[in-house]
Amino acid sequence: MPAPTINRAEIEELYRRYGALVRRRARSILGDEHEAQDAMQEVFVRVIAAMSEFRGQSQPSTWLYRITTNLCLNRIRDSRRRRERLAEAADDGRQPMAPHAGPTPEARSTLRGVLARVDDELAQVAIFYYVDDMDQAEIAAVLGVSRRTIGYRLDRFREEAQRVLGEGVAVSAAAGVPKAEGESR
Amino acid sequence: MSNDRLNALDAERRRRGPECASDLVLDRLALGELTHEERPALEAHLAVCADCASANARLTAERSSFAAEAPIANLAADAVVRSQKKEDADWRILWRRFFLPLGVVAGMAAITLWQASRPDSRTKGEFTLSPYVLHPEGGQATLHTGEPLHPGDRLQFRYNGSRAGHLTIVAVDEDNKISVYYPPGAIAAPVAAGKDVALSSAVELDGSLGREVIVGVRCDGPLPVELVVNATRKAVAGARQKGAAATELGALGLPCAETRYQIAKQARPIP
Repeated sequence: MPAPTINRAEIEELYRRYGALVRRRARSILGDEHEAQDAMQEVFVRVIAAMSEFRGQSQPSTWLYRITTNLCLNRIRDSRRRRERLAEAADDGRQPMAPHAGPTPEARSTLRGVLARVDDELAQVAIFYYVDDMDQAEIAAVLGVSRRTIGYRLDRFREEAQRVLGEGVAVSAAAGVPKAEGESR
Repeated sequence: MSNDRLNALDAERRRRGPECASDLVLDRLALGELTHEERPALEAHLAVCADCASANARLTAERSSFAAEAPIANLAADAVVRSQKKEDADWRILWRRFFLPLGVVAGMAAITLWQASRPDSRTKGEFTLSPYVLHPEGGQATLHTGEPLHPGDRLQFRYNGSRAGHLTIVAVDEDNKISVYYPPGAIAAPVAAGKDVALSSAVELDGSLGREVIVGVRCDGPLPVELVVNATRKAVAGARQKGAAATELGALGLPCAETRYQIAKQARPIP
């Protein structure tokens, strides 16, 4: 496996240019500054590993949006698995970890809880739609699929969300906030 | 109930006109990624849409804040280290799948023999430190397992590792005190790959007595020593919270390789 052909100065320049974008996006999805910082680092590791692909992007920011979205979705799923393990620990009589401190708006917690339980392609579209407030045409352009596909996936996401929410899955306590405070406009 | 919650999601979406820009489009504007047709149209819209102008101002402020406050050199160094670790991990997966079944027996035997020759040096991540002592009365000697050290002894290390990197050595005593043993400067010192690579400086042991754990930290980038000290402090606090001694601290959690070495300091015998 060849070593990435990139030097430190080039990486620092990437941070100056795209760091704020990646961190903000990660924070919007994960709702936690510390998690967002770590996710940002993960994104840049991905950039370094796929440098030639990154350099070939005509819209690097769109590429970074996609990568950041996918990595954050993985984190949300990992977080869900951790919570489930903690719930099992509680069943065993052990103490679960304290829930995420601070008020979490119901709708945002709902979204994050559902994101952890649906297919990647549905979750991805839901983030662009609900977190980024993008319209279907813009999401289609970002993901390189037709607008019709986006509409179909959003419908499926809603069906899945209804199913998940109908199962009474607890999504509010530790689910976090998909959009950071002060970011809605 | 589920419908209500879904409706709440939809209600939270920002209401905006067809010309209004998402954050992505505003990012692309700032990064010069819009086409010659897109850019003037968006700029004209920003001049008349307070909502989008406000969003643009927010993103601009965040970019400025990041550029001014983020420790970009450290972040980049960390990303490089993680990247190399990931690459190593990928190689390890290849090894596990294709080569390990053949080499595992020989490898285990070699590791066992190697560690047996270095009792009390616990490795965690591909390198070890061999301490030797410069006695104040003159002479130097390899530090043997269980051999006590005394205040005033000067301790120096040799590095054994197949990878070059940047090395920091800290020590934690039973009173939770953290000392930097290497390097003398504020940034981890470069160290070459090899066997018994002598480090450039020694440390004189102070008057405190008892057990100490010496933690060697080798990173691929020039990490500030202060970061290692802070990580050590956190690990000590974690150990204390669990009721363990400070010298039983866990991993520092840095993207670096670590090694440990236990020493015991006793009062110098009266001649």
